[in-house]
Amino acid sequence: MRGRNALVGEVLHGLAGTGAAHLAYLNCLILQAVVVVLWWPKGPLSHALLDQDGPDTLLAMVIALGATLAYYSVRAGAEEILLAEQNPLREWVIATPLALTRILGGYFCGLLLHTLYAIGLSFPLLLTAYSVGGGEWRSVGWCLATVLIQSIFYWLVGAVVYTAVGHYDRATFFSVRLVLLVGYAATPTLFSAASHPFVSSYLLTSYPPMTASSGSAPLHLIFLLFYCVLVVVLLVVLYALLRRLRSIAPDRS
Amino acid sequence: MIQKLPLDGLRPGLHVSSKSTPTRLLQGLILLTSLGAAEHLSSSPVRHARALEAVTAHSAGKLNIQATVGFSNTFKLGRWAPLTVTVENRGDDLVGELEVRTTHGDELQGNLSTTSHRRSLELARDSRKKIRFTVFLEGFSRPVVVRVTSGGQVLARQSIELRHRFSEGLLVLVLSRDADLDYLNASDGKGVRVLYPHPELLPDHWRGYDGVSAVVVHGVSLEQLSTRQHQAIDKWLAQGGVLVVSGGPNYSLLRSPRLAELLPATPVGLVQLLNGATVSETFGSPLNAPRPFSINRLSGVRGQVTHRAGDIPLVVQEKRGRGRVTYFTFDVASYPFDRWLGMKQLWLSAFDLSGVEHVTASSSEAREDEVIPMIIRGTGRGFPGYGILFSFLALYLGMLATGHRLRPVSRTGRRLLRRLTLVTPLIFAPAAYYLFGPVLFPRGPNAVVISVIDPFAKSAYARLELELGLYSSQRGSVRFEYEGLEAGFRPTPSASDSKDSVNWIVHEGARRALQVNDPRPYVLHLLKGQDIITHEVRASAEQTKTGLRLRLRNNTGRPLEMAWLAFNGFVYALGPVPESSGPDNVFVIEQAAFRLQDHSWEGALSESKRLSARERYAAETVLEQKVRAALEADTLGPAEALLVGLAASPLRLAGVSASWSRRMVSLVLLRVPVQLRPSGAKAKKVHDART
Repeated sequence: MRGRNALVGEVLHGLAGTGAAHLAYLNCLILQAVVVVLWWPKGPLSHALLDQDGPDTLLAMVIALGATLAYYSVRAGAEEILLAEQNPLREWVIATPLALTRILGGYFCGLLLHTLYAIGLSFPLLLTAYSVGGGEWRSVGWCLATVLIQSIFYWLVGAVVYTAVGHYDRATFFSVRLVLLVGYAATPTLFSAASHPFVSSYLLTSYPPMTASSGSAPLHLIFLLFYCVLVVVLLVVLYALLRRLRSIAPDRS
Repeated sequence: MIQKLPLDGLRPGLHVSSKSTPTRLLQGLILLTSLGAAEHLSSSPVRHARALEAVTAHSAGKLNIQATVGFSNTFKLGRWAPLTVTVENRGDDLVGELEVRTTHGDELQGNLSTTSHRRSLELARDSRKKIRFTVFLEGFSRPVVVRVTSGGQVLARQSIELRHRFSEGLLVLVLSRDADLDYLNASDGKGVRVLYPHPELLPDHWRGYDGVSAVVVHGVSLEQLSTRQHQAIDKWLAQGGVLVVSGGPNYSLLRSPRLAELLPATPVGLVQLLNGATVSETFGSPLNAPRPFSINRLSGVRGQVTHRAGDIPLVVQEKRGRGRVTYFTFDVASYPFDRWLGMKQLWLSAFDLSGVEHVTASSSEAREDEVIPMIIRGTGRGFPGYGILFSFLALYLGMLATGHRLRPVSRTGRRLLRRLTLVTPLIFAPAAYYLFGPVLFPRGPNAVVISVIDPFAKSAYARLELELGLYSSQRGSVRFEYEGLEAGFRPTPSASDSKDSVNWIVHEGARRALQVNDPRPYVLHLLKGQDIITHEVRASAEQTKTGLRLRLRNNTGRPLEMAWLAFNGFVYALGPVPESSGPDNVFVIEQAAFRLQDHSWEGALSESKRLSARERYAAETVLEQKVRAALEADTLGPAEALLVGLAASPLRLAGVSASWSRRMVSLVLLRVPVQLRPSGAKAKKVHDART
């Protein structure tokens, strides 16, 4: 089919056709479930009301979702995780004559679908936490948007790192983890608007409502804008890397 | 599970075990960075000044606000006071909102908060409207701000400084055209302070008279008052107000319907006294009256004559509910009483000013033994338990982990299995939403409403004391809409001693609502309110050989679901009391349900089918607290009993609040006079049913 991108088709087949696509994400789900259990309200409702200290279950779950999905994404971007019968990105670039833009477009759509699938797997846990967490749908929606854009960012980080140094296993292994660690550790101190835990806390718990650390735009919008810009930059970088890769690859024809 | 696809040897297989590295919640880091993050919340001085400029520009020539607070711009701190706002529109037709904002709390203690009274405002071009509010004025450090807004924009604004307007004295309102009672003003400012408000500016709610000690009517009729204003005076009088009416030659004013209904006697003519001798003798103060003077001649005296000149009543008093009406049958502002030295003492006696400040019943201090926190403490765990949580998570993760291992024989089964893990979240997500939501832990706002109704003796009115607890399990501003009352609510600090200040919005008008400007979930907002309602319950009892005989008239229009009589340390169950528009209900009581000293009210409502378990617990807790408090505080005499009844709540949830989860308990507490058997007659011992 001319209209259908093969990379997207691969992802769809991998997600829906095999019945085992979730297994790579299962450990993340278990972690999230542990977080929900640990942050489940221990005392009775009266304690929460009279002490004005409601449970933080939803906030903990959103932060756990963001962190685990970021870890999953950076590994998936580095192709430590591939769906059944899914070809690596390098192979698409080297072994097929498809235009790079088409490959990159299909890759991006595929990673988006895969990320949404992972978020979908976490949804029952999120709704369980939501029931006692005292959130509102609008805030949860924004939280999910920040989780999504962050995971896309880390996925592309993994892809860029792997494309650049993928043939060095240990370098890739440590590099992607280091990037994730630095990203999570540095952002709260250097630029809080780019810290997912901080923005989630702002969305779900702030009182009185905070405006922003810079200017008057809401924090979550700054977060989304910041990571959107980074995603675009990473796509450009990835495109350049793939183009270089294709140019130095031996001619298969 | 890791997939690797070495293609053409281009990439070596990459095997990395998917070890998950749990990340730790960086709450401490979040807190640290949040302290350094967005801090500019309130207006900076420059921005505030610019906003004021903009407001002034808007208001200049288009909207004019004039506001008066209290009576003749005088009020008492720590009391409710009337506030009248006149808005004049010289611009285009206006549809907006009028807001009056008062400030409470202490800035130094960090618990400053505001209450905004809001009313919708529609004002045509070149028109004027007068709107009345009743506001609680706690202190004078911050001004009262009056604003007109439309579409989020402030169109006009006025600040009312309070520093120079409050009075420490006892306010006496004089409704008169020509009476001059300034001689009653205390020189130190702490005694009586006489004010002369225009009747048009009188409050239209009884709470507006909260700071008023007495009202004097001289030479004016109450017919000029609106229905609401008249009802406000009537209710204020019933709850303990003091009304003094002066007679005079123009007694036809006293025969106007509203005054005639209030007076303890009817003036039917005039009688002349030749001199002041008999008056001097009655009051014990010489009255210099060389010429004859007139006194109202009375008929149909219903009250008590406290002073008379011979057989001519001079002062007649009558109790109305908890208040009192005093009728001077002479003109206090004319010869010879206008210059009489004894008049001051007579006034003070009529005002019944003991010199002791009445404490506003609406206390703002929360106590650990408040009823609503007790009810909430007793409602069990509330949250879904760990058992159901574990089971749900185990089932979900178990299905995901093991579903793919199934090996169906049929092709259809294998095809369905592939879809199973896709469908599993779609099944478990709504299941989680409903199981941990409406089934086990309904979300949304909750209200606990405790009402105590205290009917006044010989009055159709009753005092209503309300305790309101609002909380929500979801983030978002809580808006509590109600009907049936115009109670003045004031927030009380929560029992947790939290110093977080919360701002309130009071929506007045057709649909009354309370809105808290605090989106946090799991915060219990406590308020107290008062109102005077129409609620007539009359009872009397007599002691018989075998027990008590109680006559009870319930004119409230609704039955009492359950009633008890507490007398001499015992509680007697009366059962349901129907509404009686006809003859009184008569109860013959011989057997006590329990002894107050030995038993609590737990189980008193076990037979009620209407109440749920939660409502029963709430009602029994309220009975326990309120009845004991009433018996301890009011110290019933040996010839008095306390009628306790469970009634329908006069406050009804409406609008968006109609679907809230709620617990509402309404108690009627009425003192009942008991006619005791003559001493010497032996009464049969009353048996305690539980002994």
